[in-house]
Amino acid sequence: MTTPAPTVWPGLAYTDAPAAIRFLTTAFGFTETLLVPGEADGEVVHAELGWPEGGGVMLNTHRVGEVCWTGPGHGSVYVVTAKPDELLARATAAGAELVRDIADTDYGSRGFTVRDPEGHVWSFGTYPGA
Amino acid sequence: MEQATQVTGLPPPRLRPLVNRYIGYHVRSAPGVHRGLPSSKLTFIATLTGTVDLRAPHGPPRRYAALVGGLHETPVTIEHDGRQHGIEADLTPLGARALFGLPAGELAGLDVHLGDLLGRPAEELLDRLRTARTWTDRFACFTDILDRVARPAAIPAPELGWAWQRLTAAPAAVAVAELAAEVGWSRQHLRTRFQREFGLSPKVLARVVRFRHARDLLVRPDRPALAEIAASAGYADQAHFTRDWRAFSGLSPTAWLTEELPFAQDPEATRPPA
Repeated sequence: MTTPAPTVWPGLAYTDAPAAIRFLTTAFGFTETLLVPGEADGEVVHAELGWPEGGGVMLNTHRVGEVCWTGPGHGSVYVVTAKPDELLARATAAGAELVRDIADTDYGSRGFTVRDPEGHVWSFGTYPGA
Repeated sequence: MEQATQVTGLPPPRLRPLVNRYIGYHVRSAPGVHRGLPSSKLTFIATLTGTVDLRAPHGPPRRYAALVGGLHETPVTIEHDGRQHGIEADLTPLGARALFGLPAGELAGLDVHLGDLLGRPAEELLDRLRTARTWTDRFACFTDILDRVARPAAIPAPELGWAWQRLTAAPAAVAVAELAAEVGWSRQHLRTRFQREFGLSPKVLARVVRFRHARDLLVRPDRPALAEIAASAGYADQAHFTRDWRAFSGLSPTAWLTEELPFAQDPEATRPPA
């Protein structure tokens, strides 16, 4: 295993971060790697979720006035996966809303786009980047 | 087929003087033994499945669904059938006073059923942990129960708190004579009160802290050479390092690495970019 540790992290904010973590782990198969709760009940100051095929995302509880972190419904993330068909079945079964159905693209990728319960848009596809 | 998940959680700031961090673990491997190494934290483990089985030199293993272990200066041998699943929390000595009403010294070298220390909340913790679906939810259960059982507490003398801070704060060792001078106590008085409160003497704690520093270097993927680790952790030479390593782990550093590395992934190494 020579994959370097990820150095680019998409960051997303949620109104209900614990529910978002449940959704992202159940619907998409992210794994929890770090959690820093805040003082308020259910507040997540910082969390990291790993993608089993490499990399990951950070998320936290949305705070009013946050400048560096877009609020719920404003993020979009593209995730590379070798198994988009299986993943689409899993995601929609867990309640992800279909935005763009699975299809092959003219640049050789196969993928789909869904929306999570707080409106962030997630695209999954086989295109691994140039 | 070895698989290991390890998730670190930092408790909310109000609890951190008592509990430094949570570690959720799920290991599936070949059956074997795992060595719990001495550290400056008390161990609090709640299992999600199975039990923690401590092997005693004589007699049957002691089995725990949830346990608290005091500070110790020799390795604790844990037998497992290949499936280990639970949460471990790193407790401070103040945590022992606040959560159990006991000085850490009363628990030194011992392992105790969580129920014997906490009563009903121990059962509730296990029930809730076992129905929660994510580590995030399990850490929240942990925090909820600890918040309920924690009582205001203090280390009985500021001198003891100071000495503990000095010995655990930095990898650079402070001599016990120097420490005694700083707090204005005789070495003997410091040693006696320190050991009664925390369970280890100042000198042994200093050795444990140095050992943990060496361990942190040893488990890194870009591990330096043993001689280099010995030097940067503050050992006189590699022989000194090897001797201490044997005393605390029961094995040479190289043998320990071979046997334990799957379990020794340092969660600190995957800390947040935040």
